[in-house]
Amino acid sequence: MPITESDVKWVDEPRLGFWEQLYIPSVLDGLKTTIGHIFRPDVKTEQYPEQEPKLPGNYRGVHRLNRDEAGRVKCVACYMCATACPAHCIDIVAAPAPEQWQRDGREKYPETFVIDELRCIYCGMCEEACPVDAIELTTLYDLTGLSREQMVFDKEKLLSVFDLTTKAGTDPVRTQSGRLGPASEAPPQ
Amino acid sequence: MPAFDLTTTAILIVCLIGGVLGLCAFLTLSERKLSAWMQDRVGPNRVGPGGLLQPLADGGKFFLKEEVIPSHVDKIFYIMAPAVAVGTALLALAVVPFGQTFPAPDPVPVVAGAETSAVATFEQQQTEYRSNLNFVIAPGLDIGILYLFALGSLAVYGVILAGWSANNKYALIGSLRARAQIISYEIPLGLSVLGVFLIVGSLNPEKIIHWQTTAPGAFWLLVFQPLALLLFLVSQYAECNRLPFDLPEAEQELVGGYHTEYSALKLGLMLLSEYVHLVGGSLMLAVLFLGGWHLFGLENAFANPIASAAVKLLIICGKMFALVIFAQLVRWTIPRFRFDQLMNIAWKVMIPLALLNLLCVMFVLQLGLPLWTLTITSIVLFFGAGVVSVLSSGTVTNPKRKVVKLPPGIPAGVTYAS
Repeated sequence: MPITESDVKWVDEPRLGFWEQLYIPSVLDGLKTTIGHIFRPDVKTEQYPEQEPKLPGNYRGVHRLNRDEAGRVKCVACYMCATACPAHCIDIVAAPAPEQWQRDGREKYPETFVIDELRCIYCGMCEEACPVDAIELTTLYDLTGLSREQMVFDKEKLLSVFDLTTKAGTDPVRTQSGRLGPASEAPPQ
Repeated sequence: MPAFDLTTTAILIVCLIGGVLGLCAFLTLSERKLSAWMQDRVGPNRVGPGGLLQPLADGGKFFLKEEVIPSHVDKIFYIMAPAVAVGTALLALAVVPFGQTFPAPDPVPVVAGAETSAVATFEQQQTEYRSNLNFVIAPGLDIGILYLFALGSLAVYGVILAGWSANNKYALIGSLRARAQIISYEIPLGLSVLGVFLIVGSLNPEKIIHWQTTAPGAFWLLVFQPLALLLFLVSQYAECNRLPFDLPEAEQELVGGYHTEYSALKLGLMLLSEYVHLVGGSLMLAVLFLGGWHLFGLENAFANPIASAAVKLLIICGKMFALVIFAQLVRWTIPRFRFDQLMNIAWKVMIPLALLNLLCVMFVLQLGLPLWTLTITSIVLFFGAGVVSVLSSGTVTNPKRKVVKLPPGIPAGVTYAS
């Protein structure tokens, strides 16, 4: 819709009075503000390496692979995260679960579970897709490495991230650490 | 001009230049720290305790950076420009007193028949004068402040050469602005101190200090010439390209202004020369209007000549430092002027005010009125200017073009100025 003349609002500059025209009182007024800030500073700067930022619980940082009560990897190798991933950074090789796990109703488990952290765009679709809440994004943000190979995280690395964040008490908000999420429960009859 | 001692002068030059350069380095830190505090930030705090070694890091960076000379520049002038800028800035310090000074003896009148006694008096006065330690590189220079203004005008060549030789439109526009600005503000700068020269009767900075400290009924010229002080201060900011007059290097419009094409140490020299100007100008202001090393008798508190000289040095440097800090406070207080506003203030406000002030001084001196009448005339002139501005409703400093509302049928958003 084009702008019409009635949409245009004409704003007139306020007329300067005597004291404003003298300049100096206004300058002094401004100096009062600036000098006031020198003596009453309200510094919000974070001294980063010494002072870590407190990130919200739903921050999407490094991935982790959750463990169940028995300490086993919770992932059931259903490939839903790999399918949902828009960046194709998740690589899973599924294998039949060991005998003991089969008795608990686990048919498959991931033999390898590799995430290329450099490819990942940290969109969180994998954790949305996961039916058993096995993959989650943590609040770890300072992800560094010396080579591209170092930034490709395998299953052990991802599980160690779980151990690290659970021990530090920095679980992401969505998690029910050690319990399966609602999506894993049997559908209501 | 009295004879001078080569050794003393050499020591003074080394001390002054070393001191000023060191001070300029730390002024960059104070500038950054002050601006940080005013904007509720922390400022540089990583290098050394509280960021105290930041100037060293900055200086080291200037030394270590690659010295790029772009292929499209006019090489001779490009290399010459920083040298001219820093050279003129440092040369201007030659006549600026930075510690205790003694007025040079007046010429001895020669009466017919008593020539030998006149010569003897002259010799004796000169010996006496030479025995004092003057904290000026060129003491007793009678053209003192004229020399300063001459160098101030030369300093603009550094800017012009830099802008022209860079073969870059940003640099050229920056230097054009600097040229127009400095030439305009030279006039109120000179006119404002003419009153001081009339009152004191000398161009020699040492004699101006001497007048302020000893003349009967005299005090700091701040009291008798407040308007001139204001005009001098504002013109000085314009001369140093300080905010609110930093249009020559307005980052938002001109990238870096006249030093866009400079890198490494040449850029460092360009930035340094601005600080040297600021330091020299502040010292000059302290000498002309704030009584130099005079501070309510504190300068005579010590009988020991060395202690007394040290106190005087501290007083005048303290005044200079306070003025520099004030310039940095003003920098973050007042927004930048538009270029037409800048020119209007210089030509339509400051020059007439300076001329009227000069006229008042001439009348007062001619009629033999007491000096305090000058304070009154200054105040009257200042408020009178305000009244004129109100009556002209802002058309003096900020003339507006009339905006005509459109006839119907023409697309909105387009305005026509008559």
